[in-house]
Amino acid sequence: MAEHILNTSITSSPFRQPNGDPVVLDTDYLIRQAFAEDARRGCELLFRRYYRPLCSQAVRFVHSRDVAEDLVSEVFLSFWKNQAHQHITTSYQAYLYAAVRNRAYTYLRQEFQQEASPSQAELDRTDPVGSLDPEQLLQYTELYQRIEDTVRTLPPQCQRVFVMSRFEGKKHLEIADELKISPKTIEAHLSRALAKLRQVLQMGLFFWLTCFTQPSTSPMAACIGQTSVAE
Amino acid sequence: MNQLITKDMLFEHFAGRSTALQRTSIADWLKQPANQIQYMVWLDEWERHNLQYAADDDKGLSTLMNRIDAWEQQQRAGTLAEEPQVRPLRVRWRWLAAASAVLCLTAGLYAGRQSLLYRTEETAFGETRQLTLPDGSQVTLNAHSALRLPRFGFGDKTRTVWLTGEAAFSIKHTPTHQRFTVHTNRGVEVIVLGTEFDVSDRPGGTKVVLSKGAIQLNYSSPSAPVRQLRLKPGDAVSVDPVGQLTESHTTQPAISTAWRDHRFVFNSTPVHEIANLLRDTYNLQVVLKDQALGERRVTGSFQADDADEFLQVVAELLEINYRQKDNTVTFFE
Repeated sequence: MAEHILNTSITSSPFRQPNGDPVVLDTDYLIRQAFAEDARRGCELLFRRYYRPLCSQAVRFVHSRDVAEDLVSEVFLSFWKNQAHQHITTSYQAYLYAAVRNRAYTYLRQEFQQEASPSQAELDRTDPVGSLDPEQLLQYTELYQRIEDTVRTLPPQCQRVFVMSRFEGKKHLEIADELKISPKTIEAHLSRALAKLRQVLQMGLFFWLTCFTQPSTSPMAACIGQTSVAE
Repeated sequence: MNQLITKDMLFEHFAGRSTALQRTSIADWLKQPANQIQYMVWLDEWERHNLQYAADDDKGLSTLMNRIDAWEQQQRAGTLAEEPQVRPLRVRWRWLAAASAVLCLTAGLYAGRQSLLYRTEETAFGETRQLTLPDGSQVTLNAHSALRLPRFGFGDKTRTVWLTGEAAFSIKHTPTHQRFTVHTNRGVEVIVLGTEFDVSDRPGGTKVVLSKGAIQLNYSSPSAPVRQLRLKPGDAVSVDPVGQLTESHTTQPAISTAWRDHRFVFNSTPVHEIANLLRDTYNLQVVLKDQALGERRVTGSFQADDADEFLQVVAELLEINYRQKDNTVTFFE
């Protein structure tokens, strides 16, 4: 019953147009105002507004709450460091989602392709600048769907172990206790799930990785940049 | 076609229930930047209706604020050490002396580390040199250029070099897909896996021309956020001394590296550009007796092993005379 009321109230709300043409509203208006008055206050508002949905989006990719939250926090930190609120004239929302997806993708690549973990500077450079790439937007959406499908098709016990260990961040012993299985079996389930994911992730999805979201620079580069400016 | 894209359709798409045809129309619709923003608006809305879990935002916020505080403290410490102190020194001089000693020591170590860990290959005016890097990649340095690279090999993470002047790169793809990065002085950096390209970082501007493969170019200027460009073969990007970036395309990228064979290719090239070339390659200052000469254009391709040969050919092409005294060349009718 309660659900029913909730649904009708959403579709009949005067603030929503269920089937209307796209209308771009500056949803960030109040946050912009806050940034202008007090940057910290603006940052807090922005965080409170987007943290949950961003974590939810990130966790679809990385399947770990801790990793998702850390990653979203990094995006906000980088937003603060770069004073991004002054540079972004279109939409904070689009920037945040794009940045979170980029970082989630970088994380996956590093985890499933055994790449060297990127430095902080490298990660900060994956944050979006300029316009977004249509194909990339779609591919990111398809990527998390593929991951979800993969997890869903795991055998039930394997899926349970995977979700408890990764998503909920439980220790092997806790899971063993709860499911009444041996820690050895847990490891087997986990490696099976990860192997499956690795297999799925390596299939074709990374064709634009070579020259796309792969900026790199050593931490040294920043120092070099500064010295040459000083000269 | 664009009118077909509705919120419902995108919600289905986010949930993985759209058809291949719908995907095509969404891709088409997304070509408009305004629609990309709209895509994120709906993604956000969809995500809010389908939260995977409710993250604790109080906890998240305090983590973030701690991180920001830590970063700001670090920043402040950085500026304090650099800025001269205006406050009375009596009370703090010991502390200051200690701090500056530490700073000097750190700076000394840092500077020392630079020369310890890196070596620089330099060419004289008029000289080109072929180098083989530790990973087997080939680099040809043009005249009056310098390439700084790690002294003890690249290690297994990244391959990074710093260029002043001009060089042609032929980069080997490594089995581990190690990225190769070229840094320049004007905020341009080129990132590749394995490909052939030319980078020129001269006083008159920075230019990157790609012959083969694909590269990513990052451009950061002090005033704007980092720009990322993807280059395909034949694409060229130049940044002028004031930081203005322009993109162009050439059907003959090989021309950009013709200098490796001491070959010069000019296609309606104005004389003032040739003057820059003479300065960068042979350390010759060009003086024009008549300013109108600067607008004359040269077309032609020739080989010249030194400045004398170069000047003779160019003078012939332009039908002008020249006089050379030490490092100054005067062009006149």
